[in-house]
Amino acid sequence: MNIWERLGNLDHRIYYVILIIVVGIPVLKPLGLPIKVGQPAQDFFDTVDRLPEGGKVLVFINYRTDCIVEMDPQLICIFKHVAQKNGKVIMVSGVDEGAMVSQAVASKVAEELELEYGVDWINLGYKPGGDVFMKKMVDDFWEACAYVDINGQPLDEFPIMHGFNSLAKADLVLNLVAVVPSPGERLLQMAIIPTKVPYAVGTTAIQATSEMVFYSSGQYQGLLAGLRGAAEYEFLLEEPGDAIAGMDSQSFAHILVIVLIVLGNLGYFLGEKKREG
Amino acid sequence: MKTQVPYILTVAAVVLIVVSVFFTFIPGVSVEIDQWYILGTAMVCCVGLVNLTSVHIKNIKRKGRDWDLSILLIVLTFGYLIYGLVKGPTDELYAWIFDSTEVPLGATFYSVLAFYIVSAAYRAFRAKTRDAAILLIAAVIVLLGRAPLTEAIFPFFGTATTWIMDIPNTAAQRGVILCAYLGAFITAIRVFLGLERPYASIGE
Amino acid sequence: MEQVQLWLAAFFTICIYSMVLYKDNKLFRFAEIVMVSITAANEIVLTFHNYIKPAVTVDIVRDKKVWLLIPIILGLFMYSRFFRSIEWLARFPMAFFLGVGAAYVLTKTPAIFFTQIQATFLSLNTINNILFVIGVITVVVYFFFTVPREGTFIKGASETGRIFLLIAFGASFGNTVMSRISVLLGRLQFLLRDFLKIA
Repeated sequence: MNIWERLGNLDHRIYYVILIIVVGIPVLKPLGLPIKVGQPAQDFFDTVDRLPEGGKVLVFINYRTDCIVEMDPQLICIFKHVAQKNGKVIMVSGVDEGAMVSQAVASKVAEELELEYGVDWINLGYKPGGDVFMKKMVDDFWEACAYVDINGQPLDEFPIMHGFNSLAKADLVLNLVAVVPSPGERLLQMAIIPTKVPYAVGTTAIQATSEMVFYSSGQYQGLLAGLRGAAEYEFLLEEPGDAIAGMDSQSFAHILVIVLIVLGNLGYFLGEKKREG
Repeated sequence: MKTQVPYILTVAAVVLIVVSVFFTFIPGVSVEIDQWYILGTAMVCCVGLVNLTSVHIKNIKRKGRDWDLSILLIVLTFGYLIYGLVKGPTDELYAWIFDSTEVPLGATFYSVLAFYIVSAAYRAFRAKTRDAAILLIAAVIVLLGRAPLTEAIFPFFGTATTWIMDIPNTAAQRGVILCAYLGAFITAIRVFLGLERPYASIGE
Repeated sequence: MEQVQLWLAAFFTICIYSMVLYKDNKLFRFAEIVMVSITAANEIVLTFHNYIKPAVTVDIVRDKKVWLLIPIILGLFMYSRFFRSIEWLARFPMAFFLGVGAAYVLTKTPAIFFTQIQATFLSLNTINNILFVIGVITVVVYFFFTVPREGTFIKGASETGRIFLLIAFGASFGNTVMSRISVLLGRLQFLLRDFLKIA
């Protein structure tokens, strides 16, 4: 048995331990590698930056607990950026877990930034209905949200909701997307194309490849792709956080995967040559 | 009645919504149908729970595999459900339980795939054919381009990754979604004409 | 309570990883059960509190829109699937939901479809634009399954589309690796930084 076959027959748990070490070491000792900002993230930043003073941002939460590592930093950055512009954040979720996860994240950030619930931000909670709910947000936002926030409090008690009876009244719509079929595209169809409200999307790295289509056509005015996108946004905001801290580990893990792919292929081709010989 | 009335419901929904788009003097119709749809789908939220409960109760009755965990599932699910229904989702204890269980569990379950990817990277990702080679080369370039370390040392990979994402990837994905939209449109017409009735076999 | 939460989160993380790093065991299955239970219950609690209860209270009870009982009954018909003798009742809500979905595909899809086509009409003055347009057209040709793959043009276009698709899938795979590593990173950050406090 040659070295390639021995490596291939190694207990796979050894690979797992190597991965944990490779990803874990930069967590213990960060390197602080520079990050280059891509155009999609720059456009996302610029779109939020164009928010008028006191403008209302509708943030549509469409991610679950499996993607919090990539999406929570994006949500935190959005909150901080909108707060810098003295804007207001209205959060609504098309996914049940998203409502709970975003409530935990938003409460923490709002406390840090001293934002008042119901005045500077609000979480309307989970609303069922999918595409039809998205369309109804344009026709009658209050009825679509069943007139209450996540706590079950009537919307007329909150100053932030006064006069906001349609998605068309938002100055900006942001969609944090990590489920399929993509709510990013669905919201575009059902609500954004008819109302022409500025629209940008944050998503996971996996979905970024398919969301690029709408960014490329100009229908998304910005796109954050995964943890890397969140890191770029943190860099632009000059608020380093978990995303930037994670980039070092990301680099080493990628190199590990590539080394294994190359070794695996080398072993395969050299082994084949030997068999042919 | 069992076959015709459902089809009539489908046609009525399609006609009313399409007509309300063209004739805006009856705007209330599609708004009302939207409300019906959302309320109707909201009522379906318990279907998963009913199915889950029935499967696990059957497991408990016949003392199948992990029947003790089935009992735990029933107790936990209904306990958390009743507490949540009474106290609401923003109750401190309810949110605490969610943050202590669902959040770490959800994240950890999906992180397991990272291990399998690493294991497969050595054993399975082989460029055995031309097609596999193209796929792997594109993947390697994107991996190198997305990592700040390699992007800093070899800026070429960053440029190449941006090019791959902007040109071949976007072109291919656009081709795919154009075909998907055509397929969806044609399927919608077939549903309207009654040529597609997936609900017809229910209860046969 | 925060300490207990940290310990619980760490415990569940180790339970899941025990399956990967050791073997399938009772702890892993226990963690699975907890996750399924909380997920199932949470969806119903949120739907009830954030939509059903307020919608019924305001629309039906306060505003007397009693006709909204019809969609509620329609939705309840879906549960007839669990009873063989009345399973056919589930056809009504499914037909209605399907009709609404089809209606919105017919009315909303053309706008985005034509916008995407319009965005493909690029000026062919750069290599990138030429490649882009060729890519979109050849990928669409690749999906023409009803046209025989004979003749140089269809065969060539189909092959070219296939190459574009492979590059897209390669990019997708690279991004998938990135995404999954990120999730693992999140758990390690939690364990090393928040729980063990050594980072």
